[in-house]
This record gives sequence, structure tokens and C-alpha cells, in this order.
Amino acid sequence: MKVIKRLVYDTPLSGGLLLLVFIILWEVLPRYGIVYARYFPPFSTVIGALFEGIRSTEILRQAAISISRAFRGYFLAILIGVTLGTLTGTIRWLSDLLEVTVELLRPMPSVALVPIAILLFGTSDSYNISIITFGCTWPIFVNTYEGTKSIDTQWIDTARVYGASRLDLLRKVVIPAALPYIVSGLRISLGTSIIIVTVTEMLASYKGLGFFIMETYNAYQIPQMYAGIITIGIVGYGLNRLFLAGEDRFMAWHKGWTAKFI
Amino acid sequence: MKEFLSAKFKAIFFLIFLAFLWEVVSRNRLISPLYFPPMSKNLVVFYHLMVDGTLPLELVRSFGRIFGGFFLAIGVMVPFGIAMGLFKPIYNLFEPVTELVRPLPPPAIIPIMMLFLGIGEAMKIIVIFFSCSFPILINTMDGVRSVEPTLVDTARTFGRNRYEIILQVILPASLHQIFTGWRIALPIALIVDIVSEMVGALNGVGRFILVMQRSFNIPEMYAGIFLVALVGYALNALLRFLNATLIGWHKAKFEAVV
Repeated sequence: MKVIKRLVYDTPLSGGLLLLVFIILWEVLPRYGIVYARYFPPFSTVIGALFEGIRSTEILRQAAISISRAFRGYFLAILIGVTLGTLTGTIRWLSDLLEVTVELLRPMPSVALVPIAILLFGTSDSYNISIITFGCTWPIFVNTYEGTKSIDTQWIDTARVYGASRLDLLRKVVIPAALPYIVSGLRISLGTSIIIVTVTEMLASYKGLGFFIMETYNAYQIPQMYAGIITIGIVGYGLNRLFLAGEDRFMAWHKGWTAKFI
Repeated sequence: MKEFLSAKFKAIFFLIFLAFLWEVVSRNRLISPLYFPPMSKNLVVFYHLMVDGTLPLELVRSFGRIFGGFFLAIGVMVPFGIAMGLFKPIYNLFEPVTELVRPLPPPAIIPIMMLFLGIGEAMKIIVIFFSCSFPILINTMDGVRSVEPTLVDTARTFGRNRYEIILQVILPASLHQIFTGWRIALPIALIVDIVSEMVGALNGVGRFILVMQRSFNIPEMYAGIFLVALVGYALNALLRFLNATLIGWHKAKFEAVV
């Protein structure tokens, strides 16, 4: 009795079992026609379609295209977001000047810009990339701004006393101190980039995972559609995991460093 | 105050300057006026569509979906998050499933929902519900967990039972974190609504924008986009206001205690 209680309270065993139950239901319900199998194919069929897609490299190619678009938009967003954030965070009149414009543009759903981007770029990669960049810039920009604002003025004064130039200040004090904020903006934006690449591809593209799931939906290849959706989930999950691993590795200095000073 | 006013003035002036720049550049055909009609034209069309009720009607339809899905997510996920945050067995039971479903980009489930529900209201409400669920669930869970144990112990000392503690102590103390989840979820609801309307719908602002682009009514398209920008701004302002009032009393009450 005690063992069961400990298993329920201290281990994710029950959760694993529930997951297993869901998978079994996913397999059994369509097989016995309790849910419509055309719309909701059995688990094994979907996994089969996924492996078939991987074997024929179809899904891998589409995933590579989506990831490449997401990354190009994402890196452009890093460039713009960090630059603008640092500038507005350190130059007072610039942040005053841009404030209202930013406040108006920032809450704007990036997908509302899809039609403009289609007019400008057609269905070329620039269309996806421009929307991704727009959506991903804001979290990075705002976090960088907040980060540079959070700096203790004592640090700046100390550096100045030791004769740091403006560039030194930026390079050795402002950016490192703002880095933890910037990194959290980067993590938010990475997830956003995957979402936006999927959306833009669903709406107007002839390649990529988003296109793949809409294409298979329209062609009524439902197992393939589910395989595509699962792949998007795996890509999003994998990229987030990679980022967290990288953060542990490269931002480890930050924990000890700030703990020492504050 | 004076300095603040002049900063605000400069900022608004900059915005007007940008609109003016758009007008001039478009009128002089430096950018294609076909794709970027003069700002004045866009604004006039926006005004007419607002006054004759076209855009407000689309907006009401979109709002129905957004708030339908949003409040459904609050109704389901707040109790669920409280249960998962407070009771370890429930957390253990559902954690693996939520962890697996969470990384799915919400728009990716639109095709699945279209298969089962068509392109009607139910599809959009379920997709918006799905997209709002995880921010609300996770913040509720974290909020409930991070309640100061002293508060709970004090209530227990005064003989409150489990339900009284949840209702009178844990909920008020974690309200600001629960609200954070709502604050994250509402803009997501707006985005996902527009996406789902663009992918499959008969009406709504997202649909309006896409149809106007496809039929090459570019000023009308910009009018729709302006409306979305204004709605995004208004929702953001509303949330900030609610947050200030909520966090305001929260800080006063709980920083005095802890």
C-alpha cells in the first residue's frame, strides 16, 4: 500500500501510464470505427507515415526548408532587436522619439502583415523571413532595452572612473550586464520563429512544413498531415531543448557572477 | 511633467512624420502606390469602413471567437492548474501529456480541427482555446506553488480547512501570477484568431484582410490591418491597466505580510 502511495506521489509513473492509455485509445478507437478513421487514423498508421516521410526524405527536406527560413528571420531579428534595444536603452532622446511608434507596432499581430508581405515579395523566402523578423524582433528588442535599463549606475560610474571610453562601456559593461535579459528574449523569439514560419507557410508557400500539412490536408492524405504536425512539434521542442542546453553552457558564468556582486 | 509632455509630443510627432513620409513617398511613386497607396487614402477608406459598419461587424465576429476561446481556456485551465499545482498525484498524472502537446505551434492544429469541425465557429474557438491553454495552465500552476508557506501555515493555525485555505489564501496570493498567464494568452488569442480566419473562415477581420488583398483592394486591406493594430494596442493597454490595478493591491497587501 505504502509502495503504491509513493509511486503515485513521487514518480511520474501514473503520467506515463496515462500517456500509454491515450496512445492505445488513439490506436483502438479509429480501428473499431468509434472515431472516424479517415479523419483520425490509428497511431500506428500515423507513425508509419512519419517514418515513410523520413525514409523518402520528403519530411526531412520540408523541415530543413522551414528551419532555414526560421533561422534567417531569427538572426535578422537578433541583429535588429539587439541593436535597437541597446541604442534606445542608452540614448534617451531616441527612446523618447520611438516610444509611441513602438507601442503601436509591438502589439500588432505579425500575421496581419502577411498580405502586405505577399504583395511585396510574392511567395519567395523573403516573404516568410520578413514576417518572422517582424514577429521575433519585439521580444528581443524589449528585453535588450529592459536589460540595458537594469544596469546599476555604479557599474557605469566605476568603469568611467577607470577611464573606460563609450565603446568600452558598451562592450564591457552594458552588453554583458544586459546579456541575461537578451538571452531570455532570444529564447522567446526562437519559439515564435517556429510558429510564424509554420503560419506563413500554411498561408502562402510552396515549400516547408506548414505548406506540407496544408497540402496533405487538401489532398486528403491525413496520416501524412498528422506526421507533418508531429514533425513541427518535434522541431519546436528540439530547438528549445538545444537553446536551453546552450544557455546552461554559455550563461553559467552569469549565475555565479551576479550572485557574487548583488 | 513638462519634460514628459514634450517627450510624448516628440514621439507622436515622429509617428505623424512617418505617416507623412509614407504619403510623400507614395505620391511621388518612389514606392509603388499600387502596393503602398498614399496614407491619406488608406485613412479615408479606414474611416468609411468604420462608419458604415463593415469593419466593426467583422470585429464583433472576431471578438466573439477570441473571447470565447480565451474564457473557455480560463474556465478550464485555471481550476486544472490549481489542481496540478496543489496536488502532486494530479501533477504526476498529467505532466507528461501536457509536456508532449505543449511544443505544438497552435496554428498547426488548425487542419485537424477543420477536418472535424469544418470552418465554423467551433473550429476557431477550439484552436484559440488550445493556444491560450498552456500559458494559463503553467502560470496558474507556478503561481499556486509559489505561495509563501507562512501564509498557508498561519491559516492552518487559525483552523481553516483545506477549501478555505485554497479560496481565502492561495487564490488571492497567487492571483497576480494567474493574471500573468491571462496577459500572455490574450494577445496569442488575437494572433491565432487572425491566422485561423485567414486559413479558413467566411468572415472576421483576418478573412477581411486576406480577401481584400486577393481582390486587390489595397486601401481596404490596409484599413483592416490598421484595425488589427488598434485592437492589439487597445488590448495591450487594457491589460496593462488591469495589471496595474491588480498588482497594485497585491503588492500593498502581500509585501506587508511577507
